[in-house]
Amino acid sequence: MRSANRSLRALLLWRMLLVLLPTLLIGSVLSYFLAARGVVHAFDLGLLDDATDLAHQLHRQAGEVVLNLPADARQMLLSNNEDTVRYAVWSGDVLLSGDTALVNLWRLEASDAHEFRVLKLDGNNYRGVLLRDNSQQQPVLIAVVQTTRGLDRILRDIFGSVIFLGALISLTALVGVAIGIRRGLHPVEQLRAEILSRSPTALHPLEVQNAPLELQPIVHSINELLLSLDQSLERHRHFIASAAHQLRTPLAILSTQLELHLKEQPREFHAVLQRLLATVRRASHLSSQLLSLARLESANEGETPMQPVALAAVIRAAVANYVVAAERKRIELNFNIDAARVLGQAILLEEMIGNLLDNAINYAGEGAHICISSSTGVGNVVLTIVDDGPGVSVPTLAAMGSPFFRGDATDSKGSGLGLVIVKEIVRLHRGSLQFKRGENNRGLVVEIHLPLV
Amino acid sequence: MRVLLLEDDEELGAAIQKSLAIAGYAVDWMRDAKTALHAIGVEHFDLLLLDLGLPDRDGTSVLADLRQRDWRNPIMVITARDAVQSRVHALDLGADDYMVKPVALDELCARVRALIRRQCGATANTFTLGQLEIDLQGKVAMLNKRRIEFSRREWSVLEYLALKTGKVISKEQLIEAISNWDKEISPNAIEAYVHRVRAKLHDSGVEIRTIRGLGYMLSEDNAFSQ
Repeated sequence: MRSANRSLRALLLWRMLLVLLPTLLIGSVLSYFLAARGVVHAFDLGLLDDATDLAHQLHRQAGEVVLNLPADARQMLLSNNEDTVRYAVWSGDVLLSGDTALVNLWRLEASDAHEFRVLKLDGNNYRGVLLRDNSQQQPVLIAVVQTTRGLDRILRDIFGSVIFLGALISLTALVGVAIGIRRGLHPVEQLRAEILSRSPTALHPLEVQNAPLELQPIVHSINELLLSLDQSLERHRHFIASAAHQLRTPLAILSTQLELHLKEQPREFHAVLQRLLATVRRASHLSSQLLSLARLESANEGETPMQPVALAAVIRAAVANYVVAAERKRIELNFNIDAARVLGQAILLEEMIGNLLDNAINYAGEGAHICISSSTGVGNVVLTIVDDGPGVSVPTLAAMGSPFFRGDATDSKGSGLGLVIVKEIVRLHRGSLQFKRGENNRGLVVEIHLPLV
Repeated sequence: MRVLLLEDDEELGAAIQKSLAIAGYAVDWMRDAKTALHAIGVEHFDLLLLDLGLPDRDGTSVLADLRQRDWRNPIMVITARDAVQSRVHALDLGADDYMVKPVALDELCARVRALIRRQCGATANTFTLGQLEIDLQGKVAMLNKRRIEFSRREWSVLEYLALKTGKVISKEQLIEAISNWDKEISPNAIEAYVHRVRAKLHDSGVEIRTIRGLGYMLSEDNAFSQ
């Protein structure tokens, strides 16, 4: 998991280093070059000083330019711990003093008073200056050169120091950043620990006040999730309790019936068995409805494969099972179906229409009329099931479709799940469902909107 | 009529066998797929009642296997799996009907009767419906040994509805089924034919019900009564 989902801490650290390390590197390089330039400049100025000192020693003697350099001054000029200093003073091609090897080693532009140069003599690196002196009648050139051993050593020292300092700063920054990130992410760790330490049933919301600003949306979303989990858990608890009660009822009736009839005469057994059969059928109807509902509730919109379905064919298939039941109660079934095709699952739609018909036949009463009609609108089909029975009260209307709600029904036939199943099927088809009262507050109108193909 | 019952549950198997026997079918009851498939290979059965949860094989594979072998007689699936997917799957594989346990025996018998009748419509010539004896070849219906006279069109209506007993048939379906290519029948004419056929079927135990706005349905009296 850790390798697939990079940790936030590693990500932050990586990003910081990406900026920090190049900055440090550029800083080190710049400071090295600045320091090196200063040192070289000072070295060059030293050379120029020496050359100028030599120029001051030029004199005129019997019309000739001569260099009057006392022995100790010369000694001082040439003395150096580790470097070799060499010089030459000349006018034209005449060497006045110093080293012949340096004479006219390089040329000085007419516009320049002096020039520095890097050169190689006898296999050694030198840095030198060439100075022109115009105080005499003819120009005198003075060259002073010095090996760069000392200079190189100083530059190496500076380089080493810069590297050492850079590394030290990098390390400090790294540790600082790591500690900072750890501190910064502490609230996330705290949140994680709190969620982990919870028992699965502790669904009370997390503390929002203590969370930093950036974490508040996350805490809010988690709290919303916790709330909806809590509510759904509560609904399920309630559902299971009601379901257990509902399932116990037919069993209780069954055992009472059995006890009662065990005392009767054997020739009445046929009627008794009929009654027992009805009770068992009721229990098995209930359990199959519970199963069907559990399955529907766990299905999500978009996960159920949908196909274009001709509504008329589905209604024809659903109605066949209720024709006899309707006739027995002298209920007239009427249909007014247009040729709409909806996107859905035929078996589920059939079950939906069957449940609604079953309801209407059971509650509309003897001699009632039931009309199922469909009309195609813009993008959807409106399926309406209307009966002209006694209808329902307003509070009942609002509660219809809640699990195990049986309205004003006192008979023992229904399970209180039919409309819940209808509701779930409508939800899976991305439709909408409405219960209304009919004209003059009589009868019931069920209106279902389903999306067209 | 000979029915093969493939069911491994003793209680349920015995009950189904008994009630189908009372309804006049010869029932061979087998408890595993291997024996049943062998029997189907060597003997003739008019219908197979198939439980999907079998000890040696999954019932859906038996279903697929039989249809693969081109066994064309009706197959009725009986199962405890009532998920929509498994129902659709079984029907897709070639089951003709599907019932979820616990089954009501009356309804099972009615559905078996309907399946066999539908099959007979294609293969045999005579069958009974209520008190009515119908001869498709001779285009004759007998009630209590007396012949009922039908016109050619009336007979077409009766034949079509009888072969689809227990199903709602729309007026358009009926028109399409009995019209000649050169002569379209009007909806009013259909109503008249149905009316006349219905009158002739009086007291025959067979009824044509009008479902207003949806069509007609032929049913035997109390076929689904419970």
